[in-house]
Amino acid sequence: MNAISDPLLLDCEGAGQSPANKNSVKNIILIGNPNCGKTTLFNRLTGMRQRVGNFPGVTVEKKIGSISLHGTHAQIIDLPGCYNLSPHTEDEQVALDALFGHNNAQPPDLAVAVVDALNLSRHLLLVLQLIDLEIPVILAVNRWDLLAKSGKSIDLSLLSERLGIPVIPVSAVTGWGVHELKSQIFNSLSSPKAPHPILWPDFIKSISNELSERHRGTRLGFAIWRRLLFSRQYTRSLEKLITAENVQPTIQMGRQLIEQHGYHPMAAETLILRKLAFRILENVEVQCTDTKYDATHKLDRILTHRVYGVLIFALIMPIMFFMLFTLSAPVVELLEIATEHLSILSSTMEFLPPWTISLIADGIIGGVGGVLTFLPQIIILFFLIGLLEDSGYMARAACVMDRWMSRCGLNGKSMVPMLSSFACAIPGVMATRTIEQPKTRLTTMLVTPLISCSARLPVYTLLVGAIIVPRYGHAAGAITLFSLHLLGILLAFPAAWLLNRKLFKSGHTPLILEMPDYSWPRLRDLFQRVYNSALSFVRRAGTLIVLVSMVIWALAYFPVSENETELDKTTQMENSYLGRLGHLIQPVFAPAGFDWKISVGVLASFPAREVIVATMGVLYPAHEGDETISAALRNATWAGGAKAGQPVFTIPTAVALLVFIALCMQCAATLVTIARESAWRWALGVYTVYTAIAWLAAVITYQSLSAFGL
Amino acid sequence: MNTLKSQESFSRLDELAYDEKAIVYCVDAPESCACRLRAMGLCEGASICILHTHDPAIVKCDETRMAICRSLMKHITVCKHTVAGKS
Repeated sequence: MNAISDPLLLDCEGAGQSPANKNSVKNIILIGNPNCGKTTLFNRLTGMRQRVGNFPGVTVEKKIGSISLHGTHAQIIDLPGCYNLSPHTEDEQVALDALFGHNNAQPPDLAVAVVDALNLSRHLLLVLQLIDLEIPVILAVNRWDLLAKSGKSIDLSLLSERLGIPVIPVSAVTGWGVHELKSQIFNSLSSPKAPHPILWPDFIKSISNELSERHRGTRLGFAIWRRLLFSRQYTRSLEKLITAENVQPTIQMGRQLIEQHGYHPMAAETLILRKLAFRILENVEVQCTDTKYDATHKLDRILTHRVYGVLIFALIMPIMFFMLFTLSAPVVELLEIATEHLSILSSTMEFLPPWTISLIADGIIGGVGGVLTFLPQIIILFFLIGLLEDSGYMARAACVMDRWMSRCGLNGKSMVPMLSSFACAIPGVMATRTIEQPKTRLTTMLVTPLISCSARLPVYTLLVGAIIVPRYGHAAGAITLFSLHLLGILLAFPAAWLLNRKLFKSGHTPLILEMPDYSWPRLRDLFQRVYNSALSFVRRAGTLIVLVSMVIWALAYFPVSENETELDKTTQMENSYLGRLGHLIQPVFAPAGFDWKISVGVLASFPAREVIVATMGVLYPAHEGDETISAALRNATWAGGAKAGQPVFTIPTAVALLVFIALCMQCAATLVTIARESAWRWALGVYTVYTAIAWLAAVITYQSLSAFGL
Repeated sequence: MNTLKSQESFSRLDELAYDEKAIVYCVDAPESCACRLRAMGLCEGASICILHTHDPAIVKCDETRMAICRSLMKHITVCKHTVAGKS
């Protein structure tokens, strides 16, 4: 065991002025351990509405905002959480790059270190590392409102005196203390003071001095030498520095010297600073009552239980999709009727030329209206996922699924991005940044698009509501909806196994995951997130989907036949540009039972999968007597060929189309995100493979169900 | 007269029973995991208590609650303070 010796005290002598940044716009960073409330505080300080949640790793990118007080402005950056200054994951790398000023980024003028009042000793480790870098620091002690309930008390003035930095208690959730923090930020910016330097044990000081002497004249100060000595992995800026100054042999020598003093070089800093933190907290932090068996502990006994935990997790998912389907069904039906009435109303505007009426009624209302009809489901889905995220259940789901995930070479941490992907694959892909092992991260990233996201929901609901429910009832509809979501998860496991074990030949990474306390979701944040998601969905419908709908309408409307009035709508569409294109590509999808219109819909939806709903709204316009797009689909018949007059959307065709949509990676935004987070070859690789799998699965589904006579 | 004697005994973390408390003596896990554990507060000298014995187990290390894979717990040696024996 390492010998922990030397009483460590903060050396008040030598505390000097920090080199203030000469740039007029001051740069402040919010830094702290994961899930300590940085983003909630950031939102309070800036008035912004960045995503928050109750699990480690919600923020994986830096977010920039501005704060002002009495006409003075400053830039504030919310960083992903990190436990110390040695980056283990991509999100920690992002945080520390901002701290060390990577890529010519402006180094911070001030660091606001956010700590959890309920776990001060651990959080102080990072604070002491920041202090050692000699940048001005303010300590924001968050969750102050919960301190009394936990049976603890903290002497803030004594803490401030010992650390040599301002200490401000805040409650980011309630906003208490935020104004005082803001005032302190501007005070510290106007008269920056470096904190008291840390008095390291003599042997660390002498090693730092010795190494510094060897490289006199370089940019390496004592603090940077300590970072180089103690870190297992370096930030990108320190990597550059090591290469530029060629100091690797000196670092090795320094580590050998540390070992001679009985410390493991990678453990030395933690052990020394931990001991220092406990000394600082002597008489500062007082525990009044024992709160070991709190509600979180009692709930965890059930929710992370080997049997009950898995059962509960397995129940939550179908209940969620049952609620999604049944709660939204009446509103969706109302919106469908409203869209149809709007379409009929627009058809009566006889003062407009016929093509304009068709564009409005069939192109815009039929296309965009068809997609917007499913807004209630998007809202309910985001609300339910938000409940899971904010309650702290995500970490428990990761815990109970760890054993299952380990069978395909992943660990429970991969479950968090996968669960997030039920809402949208893009934050899911980004959330993989919290995974330590690069190959495990890449595997998780590549299987994430298989999880059914909210964009698939309109397609599922349209087809299930139009074809499955009328024949088999609402319960069958909910089961189909759940099965489609399950299909992606079930395929993700063998896909992960193949990628991890066969392609990357990577071993199992053991799970280490912090478990946050359970908390009641805050409805304000939850509704805000649901509102943002709904707005984003509506914006997408108002831009991309309008554009695609208009293009599809134009291709389906032109060329206009000279004897247009004599031709019915179906024949006109058959002769259009789109009709010709559809007939050209239909043979590819014929084995899956798709007609030319579905084939066109599938092709048009490669940029965004919900576009297929808009395309079908344009290509299957409501005939006389039909009330909704669902009815139009039910009544659609084959125009020619061997199946002429038969319904297009039989059970085998509808299920085959659902399976295709469930497995195909029709999302340009996800493709770009995967490429940005890994490489284009991986993005294009999964795109090709998943398209091929989706086609094959659709063909097998159609042929099998047809063989059963469904 | 009966007197109670305090004894120190060492064991692996995965051998601790539910609710058993100990002090972390040595973290001998693979380096990447050891660094992660130490950063999260599970380091030499930290007090630890087992909250959940399944795999992954849930432990409370000082004030931090964390889930750890049992394969990793084998590499962590803890020191138990037991009160035993009569003389």
